[in-house]
Amino acid sequence: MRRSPFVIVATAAGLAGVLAFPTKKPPTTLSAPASPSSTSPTSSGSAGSTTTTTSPPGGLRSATGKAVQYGYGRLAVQLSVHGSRITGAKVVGLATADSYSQQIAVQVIPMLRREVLSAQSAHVQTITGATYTSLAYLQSTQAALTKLHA
Amino acid sequence: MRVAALRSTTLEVMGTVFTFTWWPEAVDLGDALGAAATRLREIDAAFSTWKPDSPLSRLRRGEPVVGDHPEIAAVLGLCRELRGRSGGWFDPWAAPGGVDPTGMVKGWATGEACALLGAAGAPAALVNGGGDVATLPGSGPEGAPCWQVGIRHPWRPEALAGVVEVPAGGAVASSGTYERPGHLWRPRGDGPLPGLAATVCGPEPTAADAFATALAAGGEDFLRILETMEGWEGWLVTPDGTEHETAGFPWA
Repeated sequence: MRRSPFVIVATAAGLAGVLAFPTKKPPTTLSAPASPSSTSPTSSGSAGSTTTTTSPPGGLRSATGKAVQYGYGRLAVQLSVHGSRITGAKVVGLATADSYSQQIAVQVIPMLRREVLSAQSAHVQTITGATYTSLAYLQSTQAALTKLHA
Repeated sequence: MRVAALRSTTLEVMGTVFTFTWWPEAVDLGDALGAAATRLREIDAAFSTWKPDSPLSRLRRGEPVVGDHPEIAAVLGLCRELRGRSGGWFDPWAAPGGVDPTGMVKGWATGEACALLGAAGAPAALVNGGGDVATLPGSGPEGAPCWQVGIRHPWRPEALAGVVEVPAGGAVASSGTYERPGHLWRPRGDGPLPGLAATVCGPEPTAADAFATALAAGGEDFLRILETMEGWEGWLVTPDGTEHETAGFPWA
């Protein structure tokens, strides 16, 4: 069991590269009114080009990003956006090199999905975590809040 | 999106950082903050397991201190009750080296400090003691019903695993071994702790802290107990990275 957390870190980093585009954007950008006609939801992402975009009049839109290699396989992300709010993010077209990688990817993806959804909210007032270490806690709290409030 | 106009101040005590956050920012809590700091230092002096002369350390060595320290007797009484409610997964008496209520003292202390801010007239306030969060009943920031609390990602200190909504008056606590291995023990069974990261939300901070400790120690066994408890929710990451949660876990 000692081995798996390290493998997961590597996988998480790979996936993060793919999924990080909403979290890398400052919340102010995420909260800016969307302009459905000119901007596709994933256009700012490092994951790159959008293959499908639908823009029904109601403001609910979804788009699937181009499939991206992440080291242990390949995946594509589908984002749903309502107005300026990301309402869903799911991985579609997941293909992994072996069943072990599949297992790890399935474990890590739900966590990152929530992270993507939560990062759009600048309204985090405090952070909980399993820590007693004052300095590390303070640094991580401030880093997270600074990122969210930037 | 507008960020609520909050004020915060921090205090290093009990081997960690306590953050006091309140709304509106115009409210001056000067005296109450001092009273809360005094209270936390008092709790630290009584319950520290690091200070060899603290009453708790003396109790762990088998000295008869309970008669002289009614607060220690009261906390041990709470521990006994929480051990029962947790099905034995929160068990200070199973600690190596003598009874150790540390798994609930920090949550209890955040509640004590938060009550002092409430007595000073803060309309909305929370106290975060190293990840154990207590909030005042009545209102969240800007009159909102809830506080938004980020849960630190177990493997990525700079990232959140998610955000939970904590209603004003509610509490959230986290435990786990990802940052400081070795401070938790298993009341039963062998092998590594089944909870790498554990977060519990509920109506009050003392039990939230105890139940987060129990969830780290008991894993899915305790999660099933939590599922049956009205008002309590839990989220668990096991060492293989798998997530488990109760049906109503309050993700924002």
